[in-house]
Amino acid sequence: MEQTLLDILPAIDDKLVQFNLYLTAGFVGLTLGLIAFILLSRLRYGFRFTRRRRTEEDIQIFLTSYIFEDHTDEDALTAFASHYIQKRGHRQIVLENIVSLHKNLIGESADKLRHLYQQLGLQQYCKQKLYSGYWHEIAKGISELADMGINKYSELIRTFINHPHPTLRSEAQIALLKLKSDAPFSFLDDLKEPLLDWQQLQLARAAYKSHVLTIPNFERWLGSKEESIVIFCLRMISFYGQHSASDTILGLLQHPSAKVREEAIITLRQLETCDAVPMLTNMFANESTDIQLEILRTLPAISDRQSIPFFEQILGVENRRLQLAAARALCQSGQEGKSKVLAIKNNPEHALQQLAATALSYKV
Amino acid sequence: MITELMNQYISYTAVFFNHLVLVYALCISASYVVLATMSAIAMKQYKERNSFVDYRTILASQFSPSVSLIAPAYNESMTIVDNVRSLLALHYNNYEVIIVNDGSKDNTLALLIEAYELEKIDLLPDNQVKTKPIRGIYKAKNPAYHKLVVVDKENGGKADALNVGINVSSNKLIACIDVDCVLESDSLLKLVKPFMEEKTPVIATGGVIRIANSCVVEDGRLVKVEVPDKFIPRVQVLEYFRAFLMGRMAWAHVNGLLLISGAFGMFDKATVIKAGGYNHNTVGEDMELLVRMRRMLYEEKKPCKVAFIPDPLCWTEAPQTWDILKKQRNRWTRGTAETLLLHRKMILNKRYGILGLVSLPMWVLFEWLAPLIEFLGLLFFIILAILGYANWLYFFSFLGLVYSFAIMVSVFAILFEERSYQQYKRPGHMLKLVLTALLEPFLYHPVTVWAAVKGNYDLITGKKSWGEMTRAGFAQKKS
Repeated sequence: MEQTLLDILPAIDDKLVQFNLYLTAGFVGLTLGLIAFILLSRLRYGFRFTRRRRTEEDIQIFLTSYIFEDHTDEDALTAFASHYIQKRGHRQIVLENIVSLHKNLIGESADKLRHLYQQLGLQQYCKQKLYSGYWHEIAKGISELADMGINKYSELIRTFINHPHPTLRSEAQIALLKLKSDAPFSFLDDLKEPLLDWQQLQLARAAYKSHVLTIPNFERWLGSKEESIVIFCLRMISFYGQHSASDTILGLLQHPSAKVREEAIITLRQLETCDAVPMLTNMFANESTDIQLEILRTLPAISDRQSIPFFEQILGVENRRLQLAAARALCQSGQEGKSKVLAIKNNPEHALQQLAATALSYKV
Repeated sequence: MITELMNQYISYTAVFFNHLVLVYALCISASYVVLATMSAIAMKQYKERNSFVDYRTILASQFSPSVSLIAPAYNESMTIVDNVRSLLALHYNNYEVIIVNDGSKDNTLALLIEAYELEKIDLLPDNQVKTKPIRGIYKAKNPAYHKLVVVDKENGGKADALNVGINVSSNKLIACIDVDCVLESDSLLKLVKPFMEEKTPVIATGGVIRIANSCVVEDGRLVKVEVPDKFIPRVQVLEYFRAFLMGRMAWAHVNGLLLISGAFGMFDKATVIKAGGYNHNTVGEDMELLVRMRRMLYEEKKPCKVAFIPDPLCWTEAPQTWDILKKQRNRWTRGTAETLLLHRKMILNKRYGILGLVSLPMWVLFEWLAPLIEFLGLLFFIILAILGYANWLYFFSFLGLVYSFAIMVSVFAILFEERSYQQYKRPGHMLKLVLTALLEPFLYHPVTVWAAVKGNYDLITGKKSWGEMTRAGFAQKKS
């Protein structure tokens, strides 16, 4: 006799109930396991934290006496090495403390610390990290070597400047900047990956903080095919006031990339390159609003009265943002320009009266 | 014969229903597991990357992007002065704070004028997005408050106020916040970074929103984190863990994020303006804007990214009464549904990539429809029980399954918090949260389901209001 669904229903229901119960038991077990894990990890974290603090205190006492005592106690050094360098966890704490201390020291103390770093075999330990399979291990190794000023592995570090991971790339670039004192930015020649804005910020800060003495002439990379390198170099030219690059920057006003053109205009403004005036007024009509606004910000900074007719002309265009920028430019073009805007403001019939008031407002 | 047929019919329906609900529950559970896994991976990657970050780099650089912080204010006299002070003290070099007084009925504007020595200025806003008229724009006479701009306008709602802020803003990035939120001092630094570190242009970034109820706030700054005393906000702590740490982190990892919380998010202004600014006709303006921006860029075939960072950036006061909670959830449901309906063309449309094929369908199935399916399921079960067809053994086993899974997900969320930023440090905090997770499915969840059902009903009947959100304010917590 053929069975209907109703006949087999109890069996299906039983199976479903069983299925639900099994899953429920699994979930309850997992939940209890998670709670236990959270509690245990809190305990473990607390224990590790206390242990690390104590270890750090011991290490710091040793490092202080090592730096400031005239004669090194070899026995103490051997005891320290055998106690702290054998275990990986302790070794890393020693390394971090030495690196951190080295960052804040100069002269003899820094040299002594670097000597200790080498004596304890930490340089080798950092080098080993460069062969790790994990990008963050490599990056850490690079950063530690750079902070300790070990330039022996610069060529190995250089192989990471085009690594697919942006953080590792960045650490490698910063390390080269710190280590290659004769040519800190030479890695720019070999870059194949774009320099992201964040990397540019880091490089600029690293150069500033590590007091790089041989700042190159960034003009040399303005012809780079990589747009981000050109932008970075423009920013550096502006930051370091490299006026000799002005002519090359003027050439960049014809660059196919709008971003490069915009950055070039900003740089010309910072460098106060008066020669840019005719080129900027000529290119104005064919540019996007953003670049036009940048031109209107730049012209009053690099010209006197000569751009006033140009600004007046812009006041007539049907673009409120450009009109306002032109009015502001007029205000910045000496008494003659300012009086023109004042005249508009004082004329209640003028369509741009409120705009002129905005431009004149010192608060805006 | 007829009774037997009916009996058979109801039994078949019940079997079908059981299986359907089970499959649906398993699908939702599977989606949670997948999202949690992706989120864990994303979190690990973020923490590894972040161990190399020194945010002072952004703070010190003249090349860091400039930001306009826009905060609409409506009847905020209780806290506005302190909140603005905390916004002015954020760690960032190049930013302005734009407070948009959206036609407050109280003395919000007067308090601001007095506290910050404001004077009316001539400023013609760049009306790139249409808004209600502006009554006046104010800046401080005192140079110490030079970053502050206050705009007074006619009441037009939060979306309109944000649009006014966009028109007045002078920077390329805008951060939109709720003025009653408490921001971490480094929140701008952290939110700006994704805009600078991606090859693909980033159009928006969001961060984790935390619940500030019972926390100690002094002068607009959060000084002590506590688990909320009351049950309702305490459950929301768990909800926010699940939504932000387990959900949005995962969606951002696959570039499928559809929502940046209205409480705090940063946007590329040019893209916002091009998309038309905030929509006045929806109560879910935050989600709608992001979906519209992404839709526009997909249609223009321009790649873009929406980033999310797991750092706690912003602390907000959560509803602490059932009535306000229901209003909030009702509004969230309507906002979600309105956005999904408005952009229904994108759903299951491969032209919109992961958004069309995964994010939006999942929002429809597991966000919008989930409470409705749950409600209808319960209704159907009650009918079966009344008619005497309920399989009680199955019911209780299924209830046990769903309950245990819900608890497990909440405990997982607590684990995410533990392993990421551990804001609730005392063991008592964790215990409280676990106990709350045990109670949530019975005491809290039914209320939010009902609010969502009501939200759908209100959507059909055309209700548009926000619903008044009364807040206790942080001032009472001052020590």
